[in-house]
Amino acid sequence: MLLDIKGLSGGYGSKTVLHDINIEVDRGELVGLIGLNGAGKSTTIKHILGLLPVKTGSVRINGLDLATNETEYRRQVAYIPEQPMLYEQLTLREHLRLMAQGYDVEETIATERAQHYAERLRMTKQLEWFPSVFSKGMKQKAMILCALVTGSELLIVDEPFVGLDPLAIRELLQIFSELKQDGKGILMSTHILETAERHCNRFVLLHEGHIAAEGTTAALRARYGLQDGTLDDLYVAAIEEAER
Amino acid sequence: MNSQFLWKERYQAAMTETVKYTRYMANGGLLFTVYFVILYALVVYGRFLDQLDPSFPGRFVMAALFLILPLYRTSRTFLVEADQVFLLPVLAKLSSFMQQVRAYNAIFGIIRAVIPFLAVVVLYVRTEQTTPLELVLLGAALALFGAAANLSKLEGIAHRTVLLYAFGAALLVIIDMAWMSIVVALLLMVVLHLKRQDHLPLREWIALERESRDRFYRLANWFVDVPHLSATYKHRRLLSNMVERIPYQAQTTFDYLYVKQFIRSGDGIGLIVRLTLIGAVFMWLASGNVWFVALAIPAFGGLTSFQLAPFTKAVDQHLLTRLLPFGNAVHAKRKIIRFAAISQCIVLTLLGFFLSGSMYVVGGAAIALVIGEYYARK
Repeated sequence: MLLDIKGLSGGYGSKTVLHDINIEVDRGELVGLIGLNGAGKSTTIKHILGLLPVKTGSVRINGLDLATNETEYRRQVAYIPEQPMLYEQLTLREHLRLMAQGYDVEETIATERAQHYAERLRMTKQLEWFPSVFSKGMKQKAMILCALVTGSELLIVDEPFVGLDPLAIRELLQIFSELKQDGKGILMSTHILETAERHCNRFVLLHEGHIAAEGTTAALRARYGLQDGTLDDLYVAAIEEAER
Repeated sequence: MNSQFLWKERYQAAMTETVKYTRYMANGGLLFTVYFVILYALVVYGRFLDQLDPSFPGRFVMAALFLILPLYRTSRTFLVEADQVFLLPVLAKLSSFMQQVRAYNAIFGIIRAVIPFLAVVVLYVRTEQTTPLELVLLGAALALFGAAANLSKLEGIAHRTVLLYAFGAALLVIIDMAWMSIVVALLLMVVLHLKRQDHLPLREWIALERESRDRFYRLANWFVDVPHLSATYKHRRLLSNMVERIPYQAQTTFDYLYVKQFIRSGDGIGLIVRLTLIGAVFMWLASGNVWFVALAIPAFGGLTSFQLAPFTKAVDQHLLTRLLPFGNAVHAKRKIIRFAAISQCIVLTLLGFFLSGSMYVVGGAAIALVIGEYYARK
């Protein structure tokens, strides 16, 4: 199992946001993390990235946990945040070098990988630019490139489509598909359910810090008795059931 | 919301913020170094005045002040981002608010002009034939240029307009018609009045406030941590290309990141160059006294290391930095501070030796290096 979250409870300070959640992402899987605003998606991601301390339970990536081997743990995971956060003092090319160097990627591989993904996301022209002149979409693409250049086993993606143009969305989904074929795992938080339904292998539906439902589209349809239901319908059914 | 209420609310909020940071700054350890440097400067200047030859071209210094003062202009408007939305309904009724903003900036500009005028006038009276009335007129003219510089920015008037009038006033000072400079200053004020904005330029004034606030925060940041401080960076291609030669190894990740931050930010290499130049000028002015020259090395070295110590803050708090698996941040930061302290120390020591010819400067250099090492390890 690539990502293995067991009985995780956590949150901010004394405020517990997540209550005993279990999430698994296997190699070659794209798992959709879905929930209302404030359901705990971002908190879950922060726990996986080690930005918040775990209260109870465990988070393991490739069998490693943060407490015993932080360096190797961090090397396994790359992150695409919802809000692009780039260094104002570095050009895009320098960002990519920094990320690859920090993740101990061999230089020639890093250079090839950076060039390859920059071309696919139409960002070659912007490689020498500073983030201050990027549009919102360019910043988002830059964050995606920073994550892809690391070649990490697990990709944590938070609302990746916000600000992207249709071509970039299509290309990103194609890249995700290729990463899955290469045996990488992806956990993706999104509100764009139509896209998620077409591309995710499984879904985890969070509601108020608890897992309201999980499984494939077929499994969720069977559970809620909605044979032709879309992910939207299943999502609403899951929330209604959780609030009853 | 009316104009008066808006002014009162914003002014009070701004003053509360200013007082808060001023208190923090007054409690900071750096302030003692600043006091020391100011006292040192006053002593050096006093000695310089005592030895001043009456043939010294004092009028040129006064003329230079007329040119230098309007070079820098800053305006506060007390507007915030959200005003783009919430002030729109009352935008046409804010003329009184605009007047109060103008008055504030004019007064601030006058205060800014008076201090350097007082410093220069003591030199001017020792070298030039002048009368009290002429000095008053000269001071008033300079004060008006201080106000005009700020007001011109507020009214969106080209900087070159103010500089042109300042150049005219400076010429009058040089040709011994200093009292006439008040006429030029008044003419400039008339021009500003005629070209003033009738309607509040919301976006421009919000940008001015942001710029002014950032400038204050950058100053406060020397003494105390200021959250959400936005910074400006310069590309510096030549230095940047040299940084690219840092070995591509996981262990040197933070060397690469910090050195890029160091060469591109005003808190890094810019700070060292500024303080080294100021230190060099101080040493030159005090070159008759070996103790002053020797002590200038640890004074400016300490000031530089103290301010350089937090230069990685902007990147340390960044999410990407926290996610990087490899690299030794502490080691990389220490290397840069040591390098900076040693480089600056060599420059100031060589200059000190050249100016004083005394080996005391070596003692000053040793103290400077100890201070640098203290801040590197802190």
